[in-house]
Amino acid sequence: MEPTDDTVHEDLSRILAAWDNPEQAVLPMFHYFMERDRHISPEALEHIGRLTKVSQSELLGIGTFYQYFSFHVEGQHTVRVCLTTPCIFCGGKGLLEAVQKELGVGLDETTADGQFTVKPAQCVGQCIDAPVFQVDSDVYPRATPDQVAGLLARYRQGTAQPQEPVPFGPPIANAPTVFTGLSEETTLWIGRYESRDGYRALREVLSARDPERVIREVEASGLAGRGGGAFATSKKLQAVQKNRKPHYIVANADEGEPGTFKDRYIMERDPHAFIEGMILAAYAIDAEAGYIYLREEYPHSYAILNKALDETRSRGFLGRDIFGTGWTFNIRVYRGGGAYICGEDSSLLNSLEGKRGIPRNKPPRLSDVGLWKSPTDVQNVETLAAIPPIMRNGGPWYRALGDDKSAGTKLFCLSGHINRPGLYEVPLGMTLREVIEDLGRGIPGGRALKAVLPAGSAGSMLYPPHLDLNLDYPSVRQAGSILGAASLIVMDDSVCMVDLAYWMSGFFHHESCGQCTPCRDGTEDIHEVLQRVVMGKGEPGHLDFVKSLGEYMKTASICGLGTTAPNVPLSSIQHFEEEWREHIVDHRCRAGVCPMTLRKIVDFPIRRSRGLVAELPQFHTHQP
Amino acid sequence: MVKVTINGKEVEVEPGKTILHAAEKAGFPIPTFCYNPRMDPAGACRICAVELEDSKRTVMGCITAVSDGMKVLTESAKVHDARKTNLELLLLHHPLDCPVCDCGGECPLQNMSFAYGAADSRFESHRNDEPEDMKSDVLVFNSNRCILCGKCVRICDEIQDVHAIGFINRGFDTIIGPPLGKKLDCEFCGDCLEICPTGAITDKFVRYQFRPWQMEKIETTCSSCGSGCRMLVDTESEAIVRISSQEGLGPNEGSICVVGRFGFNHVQNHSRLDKPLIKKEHRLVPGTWSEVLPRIADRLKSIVSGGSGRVAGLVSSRTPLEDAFLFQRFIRQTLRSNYIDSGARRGMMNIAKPLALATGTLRPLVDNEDIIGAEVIVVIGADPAVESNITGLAIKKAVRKNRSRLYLVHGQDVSVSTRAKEVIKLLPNSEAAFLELLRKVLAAGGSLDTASKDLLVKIGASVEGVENLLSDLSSSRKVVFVTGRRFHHSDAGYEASEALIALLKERGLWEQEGSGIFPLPELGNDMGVLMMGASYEWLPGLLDSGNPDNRKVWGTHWGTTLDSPGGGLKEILAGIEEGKIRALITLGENPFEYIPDSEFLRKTLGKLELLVVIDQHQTEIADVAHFLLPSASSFERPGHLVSAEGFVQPTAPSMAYWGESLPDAEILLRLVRQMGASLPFENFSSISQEIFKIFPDLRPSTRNGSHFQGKTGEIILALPTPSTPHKALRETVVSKIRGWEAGVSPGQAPKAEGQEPSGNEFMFQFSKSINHSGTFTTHDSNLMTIEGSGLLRVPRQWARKMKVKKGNCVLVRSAHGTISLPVDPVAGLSDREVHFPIHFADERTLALFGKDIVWNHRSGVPSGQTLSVTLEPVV
Repeated sequence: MEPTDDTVHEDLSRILAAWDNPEQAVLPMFHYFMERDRHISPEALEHIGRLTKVSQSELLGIGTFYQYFSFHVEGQHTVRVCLTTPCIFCGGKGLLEAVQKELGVGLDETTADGQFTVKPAQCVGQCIDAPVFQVDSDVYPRATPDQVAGLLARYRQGTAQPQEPVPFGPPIANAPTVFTGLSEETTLWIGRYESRDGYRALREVLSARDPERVIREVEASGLAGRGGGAFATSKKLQAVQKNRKPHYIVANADEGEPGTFKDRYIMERDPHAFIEGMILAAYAIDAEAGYIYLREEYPHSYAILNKALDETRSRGFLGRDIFGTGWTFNIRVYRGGGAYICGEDSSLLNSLEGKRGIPRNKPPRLSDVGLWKSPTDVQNVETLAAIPPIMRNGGPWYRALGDDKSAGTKLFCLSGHINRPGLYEVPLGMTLREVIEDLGRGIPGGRALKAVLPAGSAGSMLYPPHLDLNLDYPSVRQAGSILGAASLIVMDDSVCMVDLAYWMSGFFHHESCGQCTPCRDGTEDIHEVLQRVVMGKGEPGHLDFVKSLGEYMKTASICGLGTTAPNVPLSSIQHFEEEWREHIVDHRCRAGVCPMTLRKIVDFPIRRSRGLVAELPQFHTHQP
Repeated sequence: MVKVTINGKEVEVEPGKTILHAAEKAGFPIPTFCYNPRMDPAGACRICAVELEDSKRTVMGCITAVSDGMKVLTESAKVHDARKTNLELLLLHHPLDCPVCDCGGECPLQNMSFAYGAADSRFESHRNDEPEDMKSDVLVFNSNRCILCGKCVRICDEIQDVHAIGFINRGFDTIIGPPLGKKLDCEFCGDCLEICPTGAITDKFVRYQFRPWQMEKIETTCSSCGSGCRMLVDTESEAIVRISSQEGLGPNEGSICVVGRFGFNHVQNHSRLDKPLIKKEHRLVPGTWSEVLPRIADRLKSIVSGGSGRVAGLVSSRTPLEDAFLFQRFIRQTLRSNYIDSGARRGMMNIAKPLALATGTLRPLVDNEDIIGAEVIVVIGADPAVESNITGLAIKKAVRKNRSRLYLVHGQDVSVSTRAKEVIKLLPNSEAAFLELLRKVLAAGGSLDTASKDLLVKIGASVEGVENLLSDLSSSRKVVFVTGRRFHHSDAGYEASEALIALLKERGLWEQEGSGIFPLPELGNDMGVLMMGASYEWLPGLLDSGNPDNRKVWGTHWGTTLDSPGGGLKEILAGIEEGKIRALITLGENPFEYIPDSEFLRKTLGKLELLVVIDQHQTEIADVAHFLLPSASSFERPGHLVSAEGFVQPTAPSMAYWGESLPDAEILLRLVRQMGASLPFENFSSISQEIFKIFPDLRPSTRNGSHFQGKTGEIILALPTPSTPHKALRETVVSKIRGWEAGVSPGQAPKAEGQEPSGNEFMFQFSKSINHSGTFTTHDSNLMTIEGSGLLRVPRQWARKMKVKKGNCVLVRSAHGTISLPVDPVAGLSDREVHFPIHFADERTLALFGKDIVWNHRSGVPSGQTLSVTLEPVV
């Protein structure tokens, strides 16, 4: 191989020095080459291998795991159309059609002039303004098919200005108690944050050198993991605290659940609340280092967070010997590569170590064996951002905000067929009816509610009979579903349940990591069955097959992805069996959504030669 | 201990063990795909699902630790259903091309499907239909059949540490293979092939050539190096089809290297001798045994009748104990001569003699398990992965699992270098000076003075590296020194060994359990051949033949007198020159491979009245031989080999004798009878019995002994327990070493430090290649496909500068000649060294060394294995 030019080597060496070990520098190096060359060439791979000592086979394994890395040259611009709920039934399919028609290429293909590559996006967190598509890091919410041509022309002509990293979407839709910063139109930078008592709690805790106070208050508040697990935050902190050193704290900002955007709101509008909470938690467990694992789909959050962290550092809240406590701590943002599975805590840690983001078997818990086998506290962004207000107002204050079953408030992401989609801070225990009718102002066009996905794509659905259900963790679980990250996707009767299940299964098939058999083959086979059904080729036996497969996946998969992947198909079969039978027996879709023919199907994920993917550099010799 | 109930049966297991272990102990083995006892559990295939009786929960047996009072059901209806569904999923897209799949018949996926009745699927879908990856010459990757258990990737990472294959893509699209669609480039150990539970990885050499159930499996020991790997020879109609292994089998725990796995074709190659040949009118013509043996016997009888010491014998170091024992007794007793030399002497005497003098034994005090447990491992003048693959694996495991600190003292980066704490590059022939310096500095408190630093710089060693080594040596109690080819062959190899023994003595390491020296033998039975007395200086049992008392011991036992002083190759050649030695019998040994002056050799050997060559292939020596007798290979005859770890393991005949070839022992016994003499051995097993009777400690021993049941496709879940002791007894060694002093060199000692080549010169050296063993394997079609010609390994930086690419030729010029050799630029080679694989060294290459043979005056083995050359690209 010819020696690569010196600047590349210098840049890579800088990246190498910036991370804790060479392996961890692999993903940042991939990002570097993607930005520089729009692909990772075999030479680049070799260069990375030489510097990091990671073998070529492992590097390729890591690179091909993530969606945002490519090993063959891609178009000048990447157009990503969101193909998950709610975008998919809020006009996303039409948008994709328009993009494909305009560019004349299908998914995962590049135009002949080398200008555009079309890719699917797995929820970019703009669900309020569905449907959405992205060109490079620019977001186009509420896009309509007739806008597409004009927008793309601007990129083709080079007249498109890159968007400024500003908070997208309207501020929080109701009056918040805990997350007050989300009412702002613009980012709450450190000056304004401090003027509203920001960093006061941290100053107090640091000057009193009282890490226990954090744990006491969090315990009193009853705060639980807001990423969906709802595990008591104080217990997690204590588990790490009592373990051997070093300890790590990791913020899970890989908010991949379709229909969820609350963490993006926090990071873009009120980043310092999140950072302060993270420092407080880190101080409580005497953490060695902190990482924010941020999903690649949020480029604006990345820029804002980095600026906010610089501000925090300049105030002395991060760095060496913070406020004379002798405690040295820093937070760095680690970019993912586009993989839903990395929202699972153990996969996230594998990814943060620079590996393929596959989940680990548990036990051991991450608080015992986490990042680099050290005790690690992984917390959701929303959980951490709730800590400063809890410290300021006291734990009991927070606890009293919720009902007797779940403490505090929760950010609800309301999207789909609803008059006022948006982010709401809701005291836990509010009924589904209140959320939909009072907050969301009901369903547009006078249509009837058909179902609600309470936890993005992962949970079983709730139905009109559940309208008076109290939305707190135990009650929702009792109703056979999960509240998860509370991303409520509301669906009216224009949605076909079979079609929904089909798209969901496609999403999981696309996102399964492939480690364990039940999930890898289960998601594939459920998807195939559903594809047959929406094509009008369903057979009666298919329903039982999906049901038994789903049950097996729930008991035998390694991680939450595999165990929740069959939830939507299963619950939809359970509640809308009639609709399924119509599809299978009568080959009829009452909502008129399913194509019922082979020709009209949107084939996602794209079926391609697996070998071809592996050998891409050899096959794509032409440079656009 | 924890009490667990498995299917109603209570067993006690250690806390921390998994359900899988407990169930195995209770006699209810749980099926697995991705589990392997040697590797960390992955928990990926989910076939080992079991049910917890109380909670009705399904958990995975391989990753769930037992807890007290746990009640497990391994075959409940729920478990059965789960496994059935799992298999249904795996088979849904599986091509079902079992009739033409090499794995069909020994396929765990097939067996498991049969066991759980997962033949019907409730959904019909496409079958995987990707083209196979046929780029590699050795392995074929078929992603369609792959069930993604990941064992191949993990064994390549965790056990072999080679990282040649990996997962590619995500989810259902995941496949396994070498990176970027390139041709597989690795050590070709074939462990991935062996461990694959389906036909996703198959052996290209024997593709579509066998059905597993038609083959007979015969367990044997590999004789290609000193590792003593146990392996299975799969034969059909008494011909070898392939070589396989068994998870957990033998000291190698189921891993075998490229030579062991693929290097079996040389024994069934048509270049092999299949008939006795007789020299008639300067031509070798075919004869019969009944024609040949009487003629040889007559000539021998007439030569021996003229007096003692008129016959000499050379024996190969692959020879099993029995043949070596018989050969030396035949020479000493029947032919009344003590002129005996062997390849083992050449390969190992520089360390064997000082070790035997100091410790009284050649068996090591440490084995691979001690290496794994060592605090510090110093590899000096050795390339473990190449010279003794299993020791290489042990070293890698030690560093990876136990964080042992590894120091590599060599002239180049070798495969364990990436795991080394320090790589100390040393000029060739500097080991003695280096070790003497270490010894002195450690004795004086462990810090380097200016003079020592100067010396280190002079011999090319990094001062910082040595400082780290010194501090680790002073603070550690478990230290293993691994020595190898470069060390044993260095000019002052004998002196280096003495310095090493003295160093261990002064540090008190001989007394330390887990510390010691671990020499890597060059070929399969170096140690055994020396123990059997197949060298002039030692009678069987390492007794000094110069001592009349020792001669009397054996003379009395054999009912004869042993009186001749005899000698090794040096004395034999001189004796032939003088006309004193009239006959030479070589058994698998060919001096043309290592004596540089072939003209002299041809002339000298031409003076013999009788030269009998017993070998498998016709070599250069055939030109001057009077008789060429075809000998049976290690796949055709029984025998026992002593491994580097001290195991005495049998080789088993697995194929029919090639043509009319006969085992060495059979040829010798027939010759004895023909001469009208007698040796008290009726057959082969009577020789084994005699050896085991006289040397009870040489009775067969092994680790992870045979547990192969003969069922194809069987899955072994647990490693068996270690067996009988094979190492030397530490107390005996310690008491012996107390009285030992390094010998005072009579006459002039060789220069103990290497010389830096001047100007644009390079040090030319022979090295071993991982893909070959001796010169035998250059007759092997499989191994020649992998590495088919000798490439001169040159430093990559030099090649870049000179714009020389792989395969380009350079002129290699020494004081004695010039030849043109193709090069292979490699990274990590010392700037001033070039290496050539010894397997491909022919007369022209050897001629670079000139006519003088340098003999180490202490051990009497040829030294002078390095020389200065200049390189010039051929334009």
